Amino acid sequence: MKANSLDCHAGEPVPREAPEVTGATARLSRLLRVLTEPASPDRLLDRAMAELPALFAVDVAVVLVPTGQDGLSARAAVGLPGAAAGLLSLADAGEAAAAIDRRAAVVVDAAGPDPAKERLRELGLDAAAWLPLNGSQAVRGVLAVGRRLAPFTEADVEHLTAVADRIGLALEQAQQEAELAQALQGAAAERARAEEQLRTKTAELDRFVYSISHDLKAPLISIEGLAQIIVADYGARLDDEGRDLLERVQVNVTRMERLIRDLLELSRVGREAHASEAVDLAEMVDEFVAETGAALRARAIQVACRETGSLWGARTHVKQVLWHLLRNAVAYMGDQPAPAIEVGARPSGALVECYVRDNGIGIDPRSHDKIFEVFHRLHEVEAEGNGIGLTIARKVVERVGGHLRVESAKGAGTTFRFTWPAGPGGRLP
Amino acid sequence: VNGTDAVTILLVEDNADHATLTRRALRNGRLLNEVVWVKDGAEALDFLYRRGRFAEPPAPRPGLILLDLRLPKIDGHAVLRQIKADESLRTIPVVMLTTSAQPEDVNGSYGAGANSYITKPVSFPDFIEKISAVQLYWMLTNVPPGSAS
Repeated sequence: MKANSLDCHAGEPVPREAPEVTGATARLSRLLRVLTEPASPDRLLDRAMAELPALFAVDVAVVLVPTGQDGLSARAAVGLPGAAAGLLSLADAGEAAAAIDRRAAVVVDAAGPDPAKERLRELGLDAAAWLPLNGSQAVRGVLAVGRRLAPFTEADVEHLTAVADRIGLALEQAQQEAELAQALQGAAAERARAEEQLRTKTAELDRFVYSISHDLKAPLISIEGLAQIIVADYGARLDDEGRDLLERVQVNVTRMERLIRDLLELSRVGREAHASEAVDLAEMVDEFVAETGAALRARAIQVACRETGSLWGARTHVKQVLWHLLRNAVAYMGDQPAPAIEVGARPSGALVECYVRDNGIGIDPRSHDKIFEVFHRLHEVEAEGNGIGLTIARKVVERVGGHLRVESAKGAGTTFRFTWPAGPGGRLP
Repeated sequence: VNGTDAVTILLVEDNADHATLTRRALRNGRLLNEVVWVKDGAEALDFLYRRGRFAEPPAPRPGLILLDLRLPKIDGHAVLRQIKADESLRTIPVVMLTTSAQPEDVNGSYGAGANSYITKPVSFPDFIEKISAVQLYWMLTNVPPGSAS
């Protein structure tokens, strides 16, 4: 292993005498506390390097961390540059590796084996210690310290071990945080990619539905027109059954036309930009009553707007949502003797909470999720519509950032609730 | 009626059923227009430039063109652009008649100089009503260029 260049603190002379005990203990515990503080590992190491010479009367201290390729390099150092480099080079001799392997301090001094003593003397040191930087999971490196004249006492080694362990934990924590941050960044990028993909796919699907719907319309125009021509030109030559069959063809054309129209509407949600304005709920309900008056009178359905409010958005979008919810309420009224639909809005911060409530046949809670799926229809009643309306309503509400949900039980009527921005900039989070 | 029987309407439509329905609707308007039906964009330009089978006898200049968008060979957008780029053809009113209500089709057609844009309704009574309205407007209400003197 090559000894990396060492960026040492100034090699100023270190006081030889042992520091005063109580002062030293206080400084040691302060250092240990500092090493648990949340800070960058480099700042913590600088702090430790600054304190170590005075605390332990060491002439040199080096923090060695594993490099990528099975070696060690100096991450921080203090003391005599030559001695520090020497300690680093001594790592090759095995003491550092031994400390890491055993997860325990390795101390060399005048009492030690000859080859080690020899090397120490060459560095101008009389004692050295290698203390593993023990993390909770792995050894994160080695703290190497060297001293002239005095050997390391058991207490010195114990306190140095405590410092090294704190450094080990700090390095470990920093690495784990870095890994976590990287993982989070990766996950965020992955998520952004997935969302982008989903947006692309959804747009593709919308375009697909749109073009299919158009292609379906062409033959439908032919079927309807040709059937009408048969009725006009050959009606007199047909018997009752023939005319009845032709009428049924036309009923099916009408049904399919509505289906295509709704599919087109569904595919358009979110593709067309409209100007936003304040839309009054009560006004929209009046419009609905005026438009569907005949159907409402036929079933004697009362429609009332109890609490009105202003919804901020495109008029078409508000209309789409309300119309589909109201039509749904009409379609699933059942044989309720006093059919009634109530609409309301309540301001709630930047939002309006709206509801459309009916006293119709209600929906089994087990079906609550399914009713928003395309083409889902409840089978209890022969209702008109094709099972796309609620899907459109939900798509529009979600498009402005709101939520649409249902509260209902079988036989207990149904309440649809949705949130909507109350004013400009009120786009929901 | 007002001499409109002399006016030819050029119908450019690849769907034979839709051509049948459109011609039927045009007959319904009780104006005695001659309706010439061509099935693609290339034939439409041959007719307008009196080429090929429209060279002899020379095809009449139409008083109105009903033009579909999705056409074989040369599509409706290209036919429209050609008509409106040609000094001798650009004053012929072109009414787009299509199933598409896509904004890019509608805006693109007007951008290229279409005089009107009609989507084909599924209901045949509505279909007849729309075609009759177009025919009455362009044949009777509208004053064609060069006729005011």
